[in-house]
Amino acid sequence: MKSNNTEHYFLKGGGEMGKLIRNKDWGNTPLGDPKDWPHSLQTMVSVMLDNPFGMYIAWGKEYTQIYNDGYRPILGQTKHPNALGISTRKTFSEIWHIIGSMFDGVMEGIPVGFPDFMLPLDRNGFVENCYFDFAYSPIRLDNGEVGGVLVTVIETTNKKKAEVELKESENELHFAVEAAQLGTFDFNPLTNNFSANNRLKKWFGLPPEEQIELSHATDAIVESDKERVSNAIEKALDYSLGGNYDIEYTIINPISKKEIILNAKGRAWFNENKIAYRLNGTVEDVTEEVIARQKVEEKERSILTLVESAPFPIAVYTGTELRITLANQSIMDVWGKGNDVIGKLYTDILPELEGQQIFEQVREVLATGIPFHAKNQKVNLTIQGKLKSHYFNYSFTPLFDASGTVYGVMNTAAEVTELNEAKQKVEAALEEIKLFKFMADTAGDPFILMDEDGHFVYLNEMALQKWGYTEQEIKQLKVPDVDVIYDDEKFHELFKQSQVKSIPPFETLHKNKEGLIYPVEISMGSVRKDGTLLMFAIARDITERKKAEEDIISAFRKIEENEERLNIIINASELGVWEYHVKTDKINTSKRCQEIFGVFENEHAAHLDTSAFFHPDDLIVRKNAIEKSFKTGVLQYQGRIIWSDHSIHWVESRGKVFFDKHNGPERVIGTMRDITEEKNFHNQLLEREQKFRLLADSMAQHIWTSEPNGNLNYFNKSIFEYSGLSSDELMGDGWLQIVHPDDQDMFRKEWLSSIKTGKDFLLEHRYRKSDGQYRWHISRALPQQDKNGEITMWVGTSTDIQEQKMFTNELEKQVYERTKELNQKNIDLEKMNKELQAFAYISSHDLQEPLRKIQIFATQIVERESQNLTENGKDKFHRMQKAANRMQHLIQDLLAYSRTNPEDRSYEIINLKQVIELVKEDLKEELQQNNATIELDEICEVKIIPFQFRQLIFNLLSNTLKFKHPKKSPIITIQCKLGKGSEFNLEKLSEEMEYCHIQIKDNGIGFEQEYSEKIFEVFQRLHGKDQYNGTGIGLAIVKKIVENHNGYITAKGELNEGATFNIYIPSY
Amino acid sequence: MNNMKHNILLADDDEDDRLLFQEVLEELSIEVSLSTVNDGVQLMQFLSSTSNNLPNALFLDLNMPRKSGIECLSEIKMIDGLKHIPIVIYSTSLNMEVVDLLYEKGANYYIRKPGEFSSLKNVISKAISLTSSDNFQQPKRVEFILQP
Repeated sequence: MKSNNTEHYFLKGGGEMGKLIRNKDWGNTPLGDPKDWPHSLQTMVSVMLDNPFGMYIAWGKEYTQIYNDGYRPILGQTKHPNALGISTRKTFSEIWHIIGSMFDGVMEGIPVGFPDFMLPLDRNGFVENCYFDFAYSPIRLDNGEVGGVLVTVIETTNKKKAEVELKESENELHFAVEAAQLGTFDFNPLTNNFSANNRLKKWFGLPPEEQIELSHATDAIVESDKERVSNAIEKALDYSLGGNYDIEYTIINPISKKEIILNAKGRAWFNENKIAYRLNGTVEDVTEEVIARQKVEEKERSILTLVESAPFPIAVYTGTELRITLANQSIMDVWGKGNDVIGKLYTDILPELEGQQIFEQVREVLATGIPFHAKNQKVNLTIQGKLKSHYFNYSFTPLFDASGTVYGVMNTAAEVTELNEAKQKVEAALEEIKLFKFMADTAGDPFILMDEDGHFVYLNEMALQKWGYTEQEIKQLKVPDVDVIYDDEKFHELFKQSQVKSIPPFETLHKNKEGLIYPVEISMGSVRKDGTLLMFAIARDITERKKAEEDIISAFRKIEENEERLNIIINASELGVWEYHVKTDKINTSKRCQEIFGVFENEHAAHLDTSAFFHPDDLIVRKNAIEKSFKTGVLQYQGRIIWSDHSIHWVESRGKVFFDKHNGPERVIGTMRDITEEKNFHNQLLEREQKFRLLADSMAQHIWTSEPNGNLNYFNKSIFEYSGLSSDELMGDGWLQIVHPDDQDMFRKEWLSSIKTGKDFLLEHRYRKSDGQYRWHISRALPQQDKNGEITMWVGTSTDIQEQKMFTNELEKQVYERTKELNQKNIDLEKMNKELQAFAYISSHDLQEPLRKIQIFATQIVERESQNLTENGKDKFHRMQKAANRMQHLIQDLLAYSRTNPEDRSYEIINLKQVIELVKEDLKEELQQNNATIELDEICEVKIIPFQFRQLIFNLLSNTLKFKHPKKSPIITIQCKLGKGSEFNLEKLSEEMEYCHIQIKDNGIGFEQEYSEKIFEVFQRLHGKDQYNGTGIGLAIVKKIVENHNGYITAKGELNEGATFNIYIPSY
Repeated sequence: MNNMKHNILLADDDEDDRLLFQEVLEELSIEVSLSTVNDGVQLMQFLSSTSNNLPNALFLDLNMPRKSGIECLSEIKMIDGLKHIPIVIYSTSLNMEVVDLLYEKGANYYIRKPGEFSSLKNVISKAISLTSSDNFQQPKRVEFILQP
């Protein structure tokens, strides 16, 4: 049989089932031998075996089963392989009552299908739900009758899975909508039907019906949002606008009346006519977000307010152009450029910062993100047109955006100008010490203090005396009025120089009130007084010294002058002419010659016996000269002649001898000249030279002269005495050896420079004394010039300035020591301040602690043990408690007093009424108990440190209540108004300043006016402790607070009538 | 006040003050158990070791050795398990800047130790009854300082 079946064409292939079918003994089945199978069955089996899809044939009335590999798993292991060749009825007996009729129906030609039929199958080692489409179709015989049922199976597991997933994702969407707590809506604009999910309906308070009218839904929207929402819907339905719907609005739930803020998002759908047929979307409850957002905004606002009201300067600059995006009042006050700065450029608002490194610092922070801090930095700011130095501790802090990039710089600062000004005041004080020390010690000479314009700021007694002006007169004068050398311009130049370098002493000429001009030597320097630059000068009258110098100089000058004059005399002299006849011994003389001999009227005409006139001593000279001339031919002699009036005159005779043929002298012709004057002058010259030397030698000053080339050729006696050297040792360059080795180079350099340029030589240096010590000298040399301006010589002086120099050094040393002392005092003061603060803390806590213990244990004893005390004991105990209470108040008041430090300055401009109201609240009970009234008159805004002022008002009001009149209810009147200092007629107020005048007046017991100052002193009390409680600090605190405000307080009182306190504080 | 027994913790380095506090509680005759610690370090140790029996109220002195009251307050308010404990500041001094700071940091009441025993009794009694109410929260700033 096997071989038979294999031969059948229709049983070929078919995998495992093919094998089983071929091996099956079909003769035992209702189908019989395959070769006898109907044609359509054969074909169908062939098709089936070749088909990968599951196929199953139930043939004949018996529904004999044949199936392929594809169908096998569907039968499962319980039914395969037994199912092959037996009846369906048997294989599916358990469900035949269900499927039987279906099979029968197919046999009658009615096909049946089951889509997506699920079968759990174990195909891959695990059981899974598989889905199949089953189709039951009839297999017809050749005659058209139905021979059997064909079941084909297509697996739809994957399709089914996709469907399940789709379903799941739909669920997920639903879930998402649920999870997000979203409302969904769908609106048909054509029908005006509106549907929504339950959540949305609940929010809007809508009925559960599926569809409602839109207007029904919009009823819940708050009135103010209704129009906006309907506009948004209208816009969404307009095709040209894109169909988007996104709006936030508020509804009120009609049931709970709760406000809900919703954010609706959706889109519209349009048909081909661009008409909207649907608008759907979601709605989200954003109430909490909006509230949170509002809170954040509010917080941001409050931070901004905080920044704006911060007591220290804050600003923010953004971008490289440094735009000011934030600036609080404090920093705008510091800048002094008004309040319109936000949005402007930092560099535009504060152009004066250019060149002060500030902009560079900000840009550096912007570029690097590294914060910049500066301490005690000087910053020059122009405020109301005036450039002034301020000192700040400031920081530039980078501001980072979310991505970590620096987008701006925050500027915080603390002004420390006052600190620095205090420092400068100390320095200024030092300057003053320096100045007045100098003045006092040099009071022997005129002392002059001048300002930049040359006006006299201060003159000592000596200066006034010397110049002969009164203090009143000198105020109208300037330096050029007393100094004939200096004009305004020259003085200005000198003033400028004095600030940058030290001016060596120099000489000038002063003119006193009577017009007398006298030389002075000026030592000067620059000082700063109250911040103003001044110049001081000490003018020493050097008339005497000068005269000595000038005498020397003029002596030299006269020598030269007289020489010149001699030349003129020689040139201009008229010569007498004479002729002497040797043979006759007769002399013919010219008229001029006779005049020389004093003969003005001669009866002998041309004849004159000149020999008769000669001085007997000189006759021999004449005779010898004549004899000599007979040999040499030339005559020349000088001699004295005696006039008839006995006056002696000097003459000089010159002549030429004429010889005869025998070489004997025949006659002599010559000239006669009167040289009396010449002779006298020469003698005078010798005398003068001697006189100069005597003068120079008698002077204590060193005097020397030099040739134009710098060779020293004269030294006075004082130099020899001082140096112990001889003239030879000093001549030429020898003097250099007594100049201090350290000064020699400078001396040589300056001296050579003067010689080269012809300018005055001036140098301070040291000279060695004979005993080896060096003393400071000032050497000065002036060139002497002839008519042509050629230097003929130098005259020099050297003055001992050792004492002066020592004094200057001493002065500097003293100033230095005083500075050191002051610095130390400053440190001590700071230390003391710290100790005081520590004391305040101790009194606040440590002192109160044991006191409180005493008090509390005392109360315990009173409560529990009082029956054990005698009456006396109780009284003593009571007194002890009272003393402890007083001590408590004392500590608290002391603490309050120490706390009112001017450092805690944080000014605010507020209405005084606010402060008064706070204090009224504090004193509520006391005011009620005393039946007190507070009347407020005119009340204005004041610039105050609020907590200090609250203390002030508190102290004054409680003072008023304490000292109320025993028979009157207290009435307190408070008023305040603004006014200029000049209106209040008080010396302590600046006239031009604007003040706020606060007056507090009561009808209490008052006080006697004589105590009006005393009541403000610490621990001052006008009443005994038994009468009125108090520590005596309250009003002291009031005064301190007023002073902290740079203000002034006065008190006016009248016994039993009341007291008035007047407070004046600057209004801005 | 609740009928439940009240746990109170007092942190104060001053022996006298601890004694007085104890006496006050005895005289008040309310069902209260008092634990005391002597300084801030002890306080923090105490609180971290007794997590299941935390006090119903903490009376906290400011000026204590090793760790100050303010430091303790800050730390307690940072710890989730402790920050609900009502804290009553219990100090000798009264510096408004410090008071403001304490209020900001979340302290509930401020008591200035009074000089009279009866006042002390009053103010402690007040503080205990205020802090033991259900649903206790930080009061307004004006009610922060408890007057005896």
